[in-house]
Amino acid sequence: MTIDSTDDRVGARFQVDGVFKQFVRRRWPRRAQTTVALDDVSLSIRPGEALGIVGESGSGKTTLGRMLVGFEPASAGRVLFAGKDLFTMRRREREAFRRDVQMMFQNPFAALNLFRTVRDSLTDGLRARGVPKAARQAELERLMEQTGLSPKMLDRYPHEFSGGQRQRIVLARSLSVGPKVLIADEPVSALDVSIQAQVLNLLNSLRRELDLTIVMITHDLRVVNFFCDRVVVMYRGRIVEVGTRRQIMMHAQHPYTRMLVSAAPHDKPGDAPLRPWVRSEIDTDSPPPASACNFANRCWLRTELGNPEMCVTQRPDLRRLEVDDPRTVACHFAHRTEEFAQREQEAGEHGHH
Amino acid sequence: MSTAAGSDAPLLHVEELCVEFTIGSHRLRAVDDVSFDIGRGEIVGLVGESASGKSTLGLAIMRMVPGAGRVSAKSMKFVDQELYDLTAAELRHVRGNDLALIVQDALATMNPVITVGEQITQVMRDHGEKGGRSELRRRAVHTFREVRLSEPEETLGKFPHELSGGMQQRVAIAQGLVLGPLLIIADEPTTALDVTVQAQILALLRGIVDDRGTSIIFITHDLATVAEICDRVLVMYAGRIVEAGAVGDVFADPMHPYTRALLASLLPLDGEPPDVLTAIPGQPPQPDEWPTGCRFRPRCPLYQALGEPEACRTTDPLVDETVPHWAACHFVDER
Repeated sequence: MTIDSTDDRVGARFQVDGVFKQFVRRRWPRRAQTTVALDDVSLSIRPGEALGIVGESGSGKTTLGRMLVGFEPASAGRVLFAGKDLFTMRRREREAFRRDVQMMFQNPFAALNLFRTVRDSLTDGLRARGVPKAARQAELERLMEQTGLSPKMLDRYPHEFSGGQRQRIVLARSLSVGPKVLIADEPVSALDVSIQAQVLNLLNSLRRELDLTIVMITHDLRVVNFFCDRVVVMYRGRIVEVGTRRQIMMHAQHPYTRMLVSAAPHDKPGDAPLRPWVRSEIDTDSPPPASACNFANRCWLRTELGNPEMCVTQRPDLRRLEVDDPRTVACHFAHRTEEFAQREQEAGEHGHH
Repeated sequence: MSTAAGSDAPLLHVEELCVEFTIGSHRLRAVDDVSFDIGRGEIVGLVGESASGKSTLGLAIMRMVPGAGRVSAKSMKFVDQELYDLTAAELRHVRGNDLALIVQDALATMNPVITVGEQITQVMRDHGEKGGRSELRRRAVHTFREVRLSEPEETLGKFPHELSGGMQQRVAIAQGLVLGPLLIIADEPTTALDVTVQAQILALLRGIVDDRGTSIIFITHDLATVAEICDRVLVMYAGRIVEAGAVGDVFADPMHPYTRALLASLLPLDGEPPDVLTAIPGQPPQPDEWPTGCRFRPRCPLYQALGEPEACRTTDPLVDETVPHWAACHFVDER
């Protein structure tokens, strides 16, 4: 796949180039089943940006995140961090990479070692960063305060904390090595509504304070709309659209992105939005079609256009619609989305009354 | 949209309901003195954070509070009978026939080794439905069609694990619906689903209420879904209902500081996001650490703003629960 946004690559933190990832599941006596989790994914992540990766289950967003931290090797393609290939790095480079890139998980209950105090967990990071023993206490206290925890809690065990506090500890542990990039996989999904706002505010202020690059993997468009500068939308292993927050949330050009945004529950009572586009479910059983659009079977735009042949015979490339706009869309008919979206909306309104 | 505003006798009348758990020498009150009515043909949202007691309240209505729990109530009247006076046989009839429960994890409620078709016919047979194999099958197909399963006949022969998450939830709803219940208790029915599937399930539940006149108690932590499908909302905090009213009124003019704070911490979906979100400090309390007086006091911005008035520390806020929109706050007028 080609991306013409070469300007993105200059000084990119991460460069993902044509990455594939397959998982093979062997369930005797059945034949081995291959799942394509990532299907030709290319993307660059710029220093200092908050990038959202959104998609539903089975979209490949978590696999992509795990690949960025080096947990998951690519089946094909390359992932570069600061110009170096993650999977052929030398030992020294890998150690540096692990300090530079940290991950935050959805479930803060599973991410902490139950038998180690907060101090133990955080000290590992300080040691890795080479903080001398004498300076550690001060540094630990600073980390605790930075993440909104009391330094008095340093000698406590994970079970003594609430979910929100644990997520702060996970964050403090990530920060203990002095990272440049934080990959956060659904960091607030498991938290109560009132706590979500606290953690998001904290992430936001740390991002500014420490000049962090944050990759936010989430299914929650509200989180994206609050937190992210740029958004990558994934569907069945492929990137279908990349744009600024505003472009994705308000003027999406891929029919799937439109569907996803319109499906999110609104908070205005009595004004339930009409969703003429929302239908069926992501199909995770069969492999995505190699030479077709993988959204074609659910696509409202395709129906509107009278089921053009092209959608099922040609795979749409991720491309720019306008030369001077860096947003990219993988749809043969993306230039018609806006027009039909309005028409559908109006038709829906008539049908509703 | 149909509401129960017109009918006088409520479908469900709950008065001074308490649920207590005894763990060792500890007695924890998960639900504390809760009263409300559910009318016919309405969806009432029961919204709260973890440990607010919302799920326990749902189970108490089903008389399904697990062993260690003790339920007491002045009255729990469903249609014309006291739920807690029913014999086991009567209860069995009411559950399923008139009362149904739908939970978040649909798969966990199904038997993994028999087909969903067998399960739904078993439900009918267990509840004494007459009719032969083909008649029950016909009704099952009809219900599957009602919950918009795309290939109802084919789905009957499938095992639960062969269905997608959305289809599993539809089958679970169909099982709850097949005997024509008057009240469905839906505990986070869409939380585990993708948004595009959630939107379809919510529309389905709304349709069922509008077509059949069924009522739903919709238990959730998500205010956005409440706005989406509920007619009324009960906001729970620390085992109590702190605000109740029509969804439109509560969203337009939240009376309790907790409701206001919850609404403020809801992230906006469109428009420019704020720089800083209005967060509620602290965390929701567990049943063994409920503060005296108003339970929201330690986190309440109004309590701070008013200079920590004594009433909030010492007395429970009294409320007039007969008005359509009320809140349990000493300083409702200061909002």
